[in-house]
Amino acid sequence: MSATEFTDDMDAIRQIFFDECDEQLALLEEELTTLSDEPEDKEKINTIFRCVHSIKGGAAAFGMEELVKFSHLFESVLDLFRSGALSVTAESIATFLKCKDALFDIVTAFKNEGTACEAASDTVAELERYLDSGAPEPEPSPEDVEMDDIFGMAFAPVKIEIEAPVDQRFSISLRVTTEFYERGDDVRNILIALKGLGALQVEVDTDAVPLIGDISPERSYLTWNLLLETQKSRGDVEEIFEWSGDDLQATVTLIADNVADGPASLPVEVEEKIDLQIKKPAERKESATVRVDIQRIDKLVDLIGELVINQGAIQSQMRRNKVHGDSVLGNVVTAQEQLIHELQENVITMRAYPIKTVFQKLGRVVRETARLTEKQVRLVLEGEDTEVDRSILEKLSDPLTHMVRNAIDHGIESPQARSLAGKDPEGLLRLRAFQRSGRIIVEIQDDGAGLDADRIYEKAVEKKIIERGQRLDREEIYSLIFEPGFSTVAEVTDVSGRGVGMDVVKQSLQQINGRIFISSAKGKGTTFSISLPFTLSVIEGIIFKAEGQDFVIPVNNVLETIIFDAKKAFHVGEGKYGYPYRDGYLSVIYASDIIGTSSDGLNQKICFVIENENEEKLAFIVDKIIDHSRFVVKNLEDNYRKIACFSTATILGDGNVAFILDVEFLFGELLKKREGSLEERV
Amino acid sequence: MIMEKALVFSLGSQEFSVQISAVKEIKEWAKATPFPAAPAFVEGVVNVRGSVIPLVNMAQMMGVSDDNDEKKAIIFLKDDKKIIGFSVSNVTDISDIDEEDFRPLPELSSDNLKYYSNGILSLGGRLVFSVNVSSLFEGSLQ
Repeated sequence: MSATEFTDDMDAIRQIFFDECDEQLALLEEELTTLSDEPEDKEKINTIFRCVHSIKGGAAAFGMEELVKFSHLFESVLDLFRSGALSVTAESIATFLKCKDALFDIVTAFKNEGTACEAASDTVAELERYLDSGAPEPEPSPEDVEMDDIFGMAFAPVKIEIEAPVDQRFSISLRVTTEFYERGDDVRNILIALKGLGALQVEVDTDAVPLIGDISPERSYLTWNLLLETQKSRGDVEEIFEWSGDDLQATVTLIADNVADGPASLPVEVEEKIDLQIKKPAERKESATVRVDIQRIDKLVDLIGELVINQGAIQSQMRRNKVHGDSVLGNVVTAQEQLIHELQENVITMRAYPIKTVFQKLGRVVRETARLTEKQVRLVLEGEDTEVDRSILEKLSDPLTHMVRNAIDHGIESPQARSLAGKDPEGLLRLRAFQRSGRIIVEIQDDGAGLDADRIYEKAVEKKIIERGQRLDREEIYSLIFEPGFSTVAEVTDVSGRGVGMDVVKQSLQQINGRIFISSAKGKGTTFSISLPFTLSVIEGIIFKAEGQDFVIPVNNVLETIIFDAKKAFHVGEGKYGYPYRDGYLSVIYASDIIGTSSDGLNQKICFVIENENEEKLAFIVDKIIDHSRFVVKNLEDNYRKIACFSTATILGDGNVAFILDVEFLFGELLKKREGSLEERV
Repeated sequence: MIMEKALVFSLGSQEFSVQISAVKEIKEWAKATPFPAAPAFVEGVVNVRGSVIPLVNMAQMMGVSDDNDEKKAIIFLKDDKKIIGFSVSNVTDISDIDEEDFRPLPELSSDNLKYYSNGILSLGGRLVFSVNVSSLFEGSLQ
């Protein structure tokens, strides 16, 4: 193996460790935030302990000393709670959360810079106070405990009373079942963990290995006889085996200290060469999951996209050859279509992650923002298991962080003000995710002061976003906060106003086809609802023809489709037209204007009434509608670059490419036309 | 003496070559889906097994075109990130080349030619302009 390959390998393993740290930290956050509901729940403390413990284990393997040091301290304090020497209070939960944040910082520092960062000294001091106050009463322990008992007790290891740390000798016999390997575990992990406790001698008993012809390659025949010299207690030793449950049959026997022959009792002294750096924490047993590189799933999604396109090709060939849909072939093809559709939905859900991963990061944002603004905030999460496509989730984190900060900074009042208003001094921030009619809704709800429509109106006038006297309804006034330039430097606070306004939030949500709505009641609070598509890889669209070419328009932007009557279009300026719609008039954009070919307009028969996020409408005139269907979205930037008016494309049944119209571009064109006429006047 | 393989193709009557390692595939020319506001040398986009790939008229982009040139083939080239299709008159052959075959361009060559080509290969009396793949990508994505 060459040196570079080796580094790549190490990097990959490091990456796995960091991935696992992220998982453990997320679990830690989840358990800690729910701990206050059930402070007596032993299993919770155990899980918390386990998380910290496995981070520590990995950190030791990679020589990340600061991380080991801090997690060890944290672990020792947790141990006091686990053993019942201390009991969980709101105060201690707060300390734990701080520690979790500190762990996160240290891990992040290692991940990004590869160097250490020290834990905040006040957090360390806080932990040390716990250690001083609650020194555990040593518990007597029986001489020998059957392994089964230990398993039953999960994480309540039995302590051995030790006056001063003395080396003890344990003789350990390990028998490994086939299931152990099937779970992807390795005896090596166990041995490495044991080696971490003290001097270890390993002997492999190969007596059970049959003749080569009788070997079943799947089966495990080996027994390991170990001799461990350690200062640790039996509980610590046995804890190592607990990960593997019943798949690992371990018998631990304490050899009396005065046994003279000591190591000699092992006839063969073979110390297995162990590369400590490849320690891999055992997987959590309860969830049967497989770690798959996301790129493989992306590839799968692409391939199924092609399958969908091929299916379309088959169907268009059938039509061309006049094969009836109710013929035998037609039925088979329809069944096939159904299967492919299901396959596609399944694979897309494989790429979905629970929104929990984003929500949990917000826990820290809430705590820090509350501290900076000196407010009391309780965060309540609902529907964290709602699944969202990874590509969307990645882009959701920043806008949500910003909105949560805003809600605390501008929404929730100070404890004093809240008490005066007769509210609980502790503000409530509720994050909720759920599915509604094929979209994911995320709500950020605070019980703060609510939006002040008059103030927003005044400020918008001041910032020249609207003109004084302009009549707007309440919702329209609220949505002014999304206008660029609404939040400005004048209101910079430590927390939200860092020059990034709600307009950026709205923009980043639009990139993932998200929509945002506000509802607010004065004195009662504000709710922001974000509506997101489940995936970005498939859209519902209408395929239409203009100038002989096929295009697709996303169906969620089409308010209505009406027959276009050219006689009703009226001239409102140079090359500009209006068209009656209901009791008003819409501006007209001809598809031929966009596509850039001159046209007599005689073919144009269909009018799409298009609406954008801001509820602006326009009439878009095309030649004819072909079909309404689901389209696999292909990004043009993958192999080319951004092009105006079409951000994405799709592949039709005949193998040709059709562009997907970017509706915002149409509104941009409208704006250009309007500005053009302003220039004419000047 | 480093041996390398090059794909030789023609634009009109002139022969050009690209290093074979950059060639993803070669297909028969087909009409691309045009899009508005595209540079004149971009014919549109094509579908190759589910990927949407731009199709660039190489002769037009390099300024060596004659509008009447026939286009028979598309050469798909790849760099580390993208795949771009280039329409060419025809694909001639694959040649072994070594360093000794390389000659610098004449001083008088146009800026465009100097940008896209890194030298002339003389392959048994044939005169072949060697084309820079990275320049082709830069030019196409403008």
